Parts: sequence; structure tokens; C-alpha cells
Amino acid sequence: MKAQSSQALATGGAMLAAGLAYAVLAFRLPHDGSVDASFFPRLLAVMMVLLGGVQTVTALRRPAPPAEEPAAVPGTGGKGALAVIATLAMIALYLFFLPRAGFPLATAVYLFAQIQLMAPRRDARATALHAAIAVIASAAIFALFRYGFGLLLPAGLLDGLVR
Amino acid sequence: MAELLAAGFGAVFAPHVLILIILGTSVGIVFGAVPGLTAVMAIALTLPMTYSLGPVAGMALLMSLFIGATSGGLISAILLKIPGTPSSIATTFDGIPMMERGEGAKALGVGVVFSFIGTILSIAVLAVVAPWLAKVALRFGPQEYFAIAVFSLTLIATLSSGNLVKGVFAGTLGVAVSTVGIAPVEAARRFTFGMPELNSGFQTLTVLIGMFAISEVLSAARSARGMREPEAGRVELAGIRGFGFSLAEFRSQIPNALRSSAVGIGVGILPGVGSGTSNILSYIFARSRSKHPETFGTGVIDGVVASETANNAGIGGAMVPLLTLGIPGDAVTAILLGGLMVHGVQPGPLLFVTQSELVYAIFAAMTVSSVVMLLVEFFGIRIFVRLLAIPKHILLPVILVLCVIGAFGLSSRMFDAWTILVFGLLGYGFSKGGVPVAPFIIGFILGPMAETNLRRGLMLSDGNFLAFFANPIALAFLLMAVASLGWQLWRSLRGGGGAAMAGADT
Repeated sequence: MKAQSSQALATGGAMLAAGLAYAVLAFRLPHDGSVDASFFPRLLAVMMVLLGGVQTVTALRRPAPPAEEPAAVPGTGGKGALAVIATLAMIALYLFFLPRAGFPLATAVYLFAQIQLMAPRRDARATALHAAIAVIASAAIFALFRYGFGLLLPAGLLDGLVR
Repeated sequence: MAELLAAGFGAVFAPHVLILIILGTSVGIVFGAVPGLTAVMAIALTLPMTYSLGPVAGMALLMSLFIGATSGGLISAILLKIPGTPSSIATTFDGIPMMERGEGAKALGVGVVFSFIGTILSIAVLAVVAPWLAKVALRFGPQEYFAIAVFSLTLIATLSSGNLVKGVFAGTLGVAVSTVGIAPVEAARRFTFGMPELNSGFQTLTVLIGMFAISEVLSAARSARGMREPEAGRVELAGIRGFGFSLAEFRSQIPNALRSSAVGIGVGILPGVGSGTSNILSYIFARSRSKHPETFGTGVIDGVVASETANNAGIGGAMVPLLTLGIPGDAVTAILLGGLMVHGVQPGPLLFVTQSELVYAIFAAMTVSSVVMLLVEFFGIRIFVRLLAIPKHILLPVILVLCVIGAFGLSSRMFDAWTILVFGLLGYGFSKGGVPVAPFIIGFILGPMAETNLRRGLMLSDGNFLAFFANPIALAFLLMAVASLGWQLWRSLRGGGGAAMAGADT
């Protein structure tokens, strides 16, 4: 219950923070006194701050009702949070290297890493399978979109090879 | 008209046109089913391929892609819990619970059949009443559009039962996000932080992909290692007869289907409001008209019927202003407009007079494509089920890559790909905080419509707000908005002693 109460408070806090941040930006927009480009954002900012405030105050005053604990899933909790962070990092690195290393290479590496992270099994056979899937899928998707649909996905380091 | 229709069918049943329709529908379904690939992309990528085809063949192919993609979104909405296209957002509300309850095949069957019904009904309306409907829609001005947008936004509250504060906040945040970019009327930059990429704001597709697909990948990553088996995306097909639901269930949904078709057709006709809105509006109406509204969202076929009938009915509706006035109703019809002009066809009131054979050939192609869609999805569902039974730890990363391609392909900018990551984080945060996503999406889509028409309406009335209330249609919608919000507020305060209002539950 305490965890849920903390989460409700955190949600309220996040809502309020988002509202305040948007309000700061909205009220800095030039305003000439009429219904101009700043009118809507200011109205929205006020609404967001009010709603965030209501959520926060209510979470402070009224603890969340007891709720059923979700069934424990092995591998979640701290490890789950790490997996999320790792996934975010992998996606970010993938997007960073996509235009530099090229779609085929970046995608193959990303797919392998992501599949390995999420796979329930990581023995040698599974790893080899995942590597093969990553390479084949990357090549197939690249060929389909570049040559089939004419979408110029960056080839990057393999540019000389695919021309 | 009968002769023209017969001639149209004759042209469509030429072998090469028929093959193009079958291919186009099948490919369209795939584009609609895979998150990150949409009807817009399917048609945009295929348009150059139609240059060498004749007008009938070219338009038949493009219309088939449109119909297939619009319907295909239900497959991933139900099996992957990710709407393949914006037009299947509301399908997830009941499709996902049905899937989790082991009724995935039923949900698919219902969605397929009523997609077909919605399409056929809309084609009939298109063929019979197109000119008259277009004239009515032309009379709507900024004040009417603003009132419709406000009314639709207040309906967000109906999607926030039990989490009214969070739901309304999500909707407001969605509208706020839509203000990024160049403001309407005076073209002032807002919240662009000096980045030229933000001048046009965020693309709907990137928001959708991020909020649904990327957040799903993050959620799956969180629980993936704990899974002993692949995620329950499997649909039990053994013992399923026909489309998976009974004749009695079909009959019980006819009023819902007719109403949803009317919503879809009506919304489709309104330029600027696409199937991304019609499926949600139809769902809300179906829920409000139901004798058991509390069951919506728990996994009832009514919700799937409302969404899928409306989104496909919007196809015929969107074609009304396109063919009769040359006004595209959404991004897809904008590309179709390009397709028509490429083939030397000028849409407009004279089209029905000077090129009526082509118009009725388009109607015939849409009809045939609808039948093909029904057959492909009926016989192909087993294939789709097997395809989507691929373990999630393999499927989701591949889908993420396709999502990145989808985002990148919009404007060949890596910026859009980065955007889906940002919204993915936001969507994941929503799921952790118990904040509903649907209101955010609705707010994002309708926000620009509300603001732009408010500004235009005030310009027309020299800054007089009362002009909105003097307009009878606008007044009616505004009163309905007030009534809707008031009723939801009263319900929330009445039920649970304010707990629902507080949304303190996670």
C-alpha cells in the first residue's frame, strides 16, 4: 500500500512538474492581449497545473486503497528496471549509429543485442540463432525497403557494396 | 447509374485489375497490421509504381491498399496490443481484454466482418448521396469545427472512468504537445527551441508509434527475462467455426454497426478529421448508447464492432469530398488526390459528369477490394496468427526496427526516429503512472483543429466569442460538450466518494 501511495504521489508530482514546466514556457510566449498564439498554451498550462495539483494533493491526503499485488514475475523488479534502461540505451545507440554505420550494420547489431536481452534462453545455440535472425532480418528489411519500395535507407559503411 | 456501375464492375473484373486488387489488398493488410507501417506509407510508396498503369488499374490498386491497410490495423491491435494504424486505437480497448481472455479469434473475426460491413455501407452511401453530403459538409465553417472539436475533447472524460483527473490531464497534455511548432494564423513559432525540425510540430505517426509500440517494447523488456514461454499472443483457433462468433451475436450488433457506420461516414466526410478520430468517437457513442456501458473496456465485441465499423466506413466518407470537391479529408486521401491527378483525373463536381465511368470503376474496385479483404483476412488469419505467434523477444525488436523505418520514411529525417523514442518514454511513464494513453492521443489529434478553428472563427467575428453561440450548429455541439463534461463529473463525484475524481489509484 505504501508503494502504491508513493507511486500515486510520484504521478501527481510528475503531472504538476509537467504543468509548471509548460506554464513557464507558455507564459514566456509573446502576448499582445488578444486571442493570439499564446492564448491556447496559457489556457492549457493553467489546466495542467490545476489537475497536477489536484492529483498531488489528493495523493497526499488519501492513501491509495489496498490493491492486489501483481503476480510475481521472475526477473522483474530491479532486473526489470535494468532491462528497461538497457533497452533505452540500445535504442538510443541504434538511432545514433544508424546514419553513421548504416542501416544494415546498425540494425543487425541492435537486433542481436535486443533479442539477446529479452530472450528467455541465452545458450550457445540460442545465441547463434539470434545472430542469424538479426543478420537475415536486417538484410531482408534493407533490401525490401531500399530496392522494393525505393526508400533510401542509409547504407553507411556498406554504401559501396549496395550500389 | 446502374449501367455505369455495371460498366465499372466490367472494367474492374479485367484480369490484370483483379490481380492488382488482390495484391493491393493483401499488401495493404500487411501494412496496416505491422505497427509503424501505415496506409499513408503503403500508398505513398506504391504511387510511383502506378505511373505506367491506366487510371482504372492505378486507382484500383491505390484504393485496395487504402482498404486493406485501414482494416489491417485490427490484427496487431488485437494480437500485439499495438494499434497498427491510428484508425484501430479504439479496437485495443476491448480487443486486448478479449485477447487476454482467450477470445482473440472471436475479436479478429468480429473486426474483420464488421470492417467489411462498414466499408460496403460507406461505398453505398458514397455512390448514392455523395453530391448532397458534400454540400452539407461545405457549410461547416470554423465555428462549427471548433465546437465539434471541443465536444470531442470533452468526450475524453468518458475514456477516463476511474481516473478522471489523470485522463483529463493526459488529454490536456496531448493538446499541449500539439501546440509545438508554428502556430495557426500568425505563424509564430512555439516551443521549437530553435530547432527547425520542430517547426511543423510532431508527426501523428511518430507520437502513435512512440506511445504504443516503443512503450510496449520497454514493457516487454522489463518482463521478458521472467517469461518461460513466449508472450500470450497466441490465438486458439481449434474449434473455431466461421468467423468465431454466432449468428445471434451478429444480429445483436447490427444496430451498433449501423450507428458506427453513420459515425464513420459522417466523420470521414468532414475534411481534416480522419479515421483516427472516427473509431474513437464511434466507440464513445456505442458505449454511451449501451445498456451496459460498464462492460466496455473489459472485452466486449460491441467495442470492437464500433471501432472497426467506423474506421472502415470512414473510407467511403473520406472519398466524398475527395471525388466531389477535390478536397482531401486526411493524409491518405491527399495522396489519393495526387494519384488521381497523376492519371489526368481532375476531381470536382464535374468529375461525375465528364468521367463517370472512372468514378463508378473506383466504386466497383472498392467493393471488390472489400470482398478480397474479407476473404484474405478470413483465410489468412491463421497465417497471421502463426506469424504473430513468433516469440515476442524476436518479434518486438523487428517491429521496433520497422517503426524506426516508418518514422524515418515520413520525411527521411532521423529526428522523427528520435521522436518515437521520446514518446516511447512518455508512453512507458504513462503506463507506470496509471495514466491512460487514449486521451493523450485524442487531445493531440484534435488540439490543432480546436485552436485553428477558434482563431479563424474569432477572426471572422472580429474577436466576438458570442458568435460561436449564435451559430446554431456550434451552439448545439458546445451545449453537448458542457452536458457531457458535467455528467462525467457528476458520475465521478457520485461514484466512489471522489476516489475516482482523485485518480489516486495507480
